[in-house]
Amino acid sequence: MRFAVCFKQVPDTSAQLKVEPESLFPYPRGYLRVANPYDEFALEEALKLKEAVGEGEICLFSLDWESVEETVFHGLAMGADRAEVLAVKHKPDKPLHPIQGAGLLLDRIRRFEPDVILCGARAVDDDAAQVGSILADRLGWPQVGGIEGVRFDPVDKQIVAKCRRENVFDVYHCPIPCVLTFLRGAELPRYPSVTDVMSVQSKLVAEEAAEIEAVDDGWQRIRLYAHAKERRKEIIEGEMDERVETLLDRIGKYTSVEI
Amino acid sequence: MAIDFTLTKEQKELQKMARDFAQNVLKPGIAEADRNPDPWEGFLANHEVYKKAYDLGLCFSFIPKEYGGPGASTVDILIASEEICVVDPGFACTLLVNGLGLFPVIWWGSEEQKKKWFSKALNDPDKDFIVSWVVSEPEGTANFDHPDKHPVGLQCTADYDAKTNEYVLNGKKMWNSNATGWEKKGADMNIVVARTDRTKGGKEGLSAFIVPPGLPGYHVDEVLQKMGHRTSVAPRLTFDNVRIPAENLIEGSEGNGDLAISKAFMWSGAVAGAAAVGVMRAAFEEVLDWSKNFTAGSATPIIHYQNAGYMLGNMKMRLEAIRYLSWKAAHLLDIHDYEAIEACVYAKVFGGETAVEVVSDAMRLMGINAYLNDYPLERHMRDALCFPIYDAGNMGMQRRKLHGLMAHPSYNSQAMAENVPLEFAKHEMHGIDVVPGHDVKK
Repeated sequence: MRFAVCFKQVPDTSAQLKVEPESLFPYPRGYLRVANPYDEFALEEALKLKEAVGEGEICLFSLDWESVEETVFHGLAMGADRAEVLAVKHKPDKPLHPIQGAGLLLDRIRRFEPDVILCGARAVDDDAAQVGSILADRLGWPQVGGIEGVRFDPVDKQIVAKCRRENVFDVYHCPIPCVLTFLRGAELPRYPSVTDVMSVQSKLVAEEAAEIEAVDDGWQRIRLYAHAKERRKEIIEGEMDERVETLLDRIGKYTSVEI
Repeated sequence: MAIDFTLTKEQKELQKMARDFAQNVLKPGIAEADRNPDPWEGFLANHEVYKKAYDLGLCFSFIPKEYGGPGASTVDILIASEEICVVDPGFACTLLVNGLGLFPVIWWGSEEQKKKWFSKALNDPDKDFIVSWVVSEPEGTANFDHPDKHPVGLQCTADYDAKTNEYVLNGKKMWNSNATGWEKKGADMNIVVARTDRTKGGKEGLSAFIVPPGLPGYHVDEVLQKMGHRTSVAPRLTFDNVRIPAENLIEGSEGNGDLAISKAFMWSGAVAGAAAVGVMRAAFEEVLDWSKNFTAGSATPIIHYQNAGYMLGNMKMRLEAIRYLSWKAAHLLDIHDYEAIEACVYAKVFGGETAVEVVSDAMRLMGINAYLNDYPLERHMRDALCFPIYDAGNMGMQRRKLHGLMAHPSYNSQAMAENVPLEFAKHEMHGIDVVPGHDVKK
């Protein structure tokens, strides 16, 4: 069985991001990069499906306009068999539209001829949560979203996916081929072993140049700004009723968000 | 540019894996294991964690690829070890003693010995294969290379019995990390250095053996009640006619047990430097965070006072210096076939002694609260105090080796800076300072 895993590089989730004036990117120079944690869950589930089926190939697909080398290395160390890196020639001056990102991936993923495409439900940087759905739509494949764990049903040759909805679980049977997007997995993503790390060099990383095509459907990021952080303190005095009133007033002002 | 401290992709990934493992798997149980009054239980508390480390290849990362191991370099091992030592140098000690014991097999073992034992180490179905390093003795070990014959120097004997083609071990040992194994029957491999020729001194009469677990006469008398490193285990042992097949004599170590001791403690010197860095890092991070939040009753956190700021700077610069000194030692081990005595002594001696100073400064900066076991600094101090005196003590062995090297006419003081190999010459350099006023050349 062939598994395509979309593996996005994002800023380290513990990094302090800075919004630079005139930029639509929230990434300061030299920020630490990691694999999108939701994509790590997707890869972990792909590895488990491959182990359960007993054969197959897992290929990572990653877009690159700054180096994604270390992120891809991490995915290969976790156990992916190979990777395809789509090197975007010119860094865009604004964030990619999800249709642009999915469009670039779609072409390459199609050529890989996967049985299952696995993605994180969203990426922690832009939270667009659209790439998986766009891929499913373009391919005309079924998609299950917000998954917390999957298994392969060898009798009916289908995927069984468990998704959390509030406090209950939905379980879906999904035919192959399909697109699966993950909120988490049955277990945390594995740590690569020393041997896994040392054997990455023998795995194939194919790099291909990619051009971004313009998309105009009216969707664009127009402004990026940081939530203003201000420390204030005030001692509210007066009678109890008066103090409660003043307090409510202050809370009201504090919580109103200006856009 | 010849000097480049950029980590490779492999090293960054190992660092991330070791950090994730240390913070998420190891850390949750450490404070409790450290405080367990029973040192045996404190050791066993990490049995499951050890199995996870085994799965990740952290227990035997150094076994060469040609024998099926991951083939990590010494620099790789240091980078991963630092992350584990930030959380607990005791558990790291358990892992790294596997190296202390197995390197003599890598260096002096026969092909059959390597194939047989490395395969066992790497393919344990229980995932808890553990190796011990059994050198130290209750009467003292530092003068192992004393020129006098038995019973001066190492006293434990291994007499050859020609009738059965076995060696018979007798004597007492102490401080032998991992030598309990998980069931007090010995580790899966116990690397024992003993006197095979009672008529000769320490430079000719010692050899190293592989002692399997569960042999009659192998007694674990006591698990030592240590001040720090409480998650590692060190027992007192008695060998009472322990019979081991002659094939378990590590082939090239016959009459070279002194070299096995020196060279293994050379490798571990670089690793001990990384352990010191780990503990300094833990203490520094703790007190940096404290300084940014604790006001000591004033209007601002204490980091805004010059004294606190400068103390933090002094701590960090020492930590960084030891890190790169240790990396240099590890790099020299990697490029010179594990011969880098000078740099390894510096990493061990300077690293360990600096760690005590840095943790002490961290405690002074935090103030009296550091003396409480509510905070981890007292544990870091108990752990750090071990560094200058364990693993071939800085006074008894490490400085003595350095003296032997420097006193020799061939000593090249620029060799370390210029990456020139510096061989430790057994006959000319061992044996210095073991008799007051003794000249090694005699």
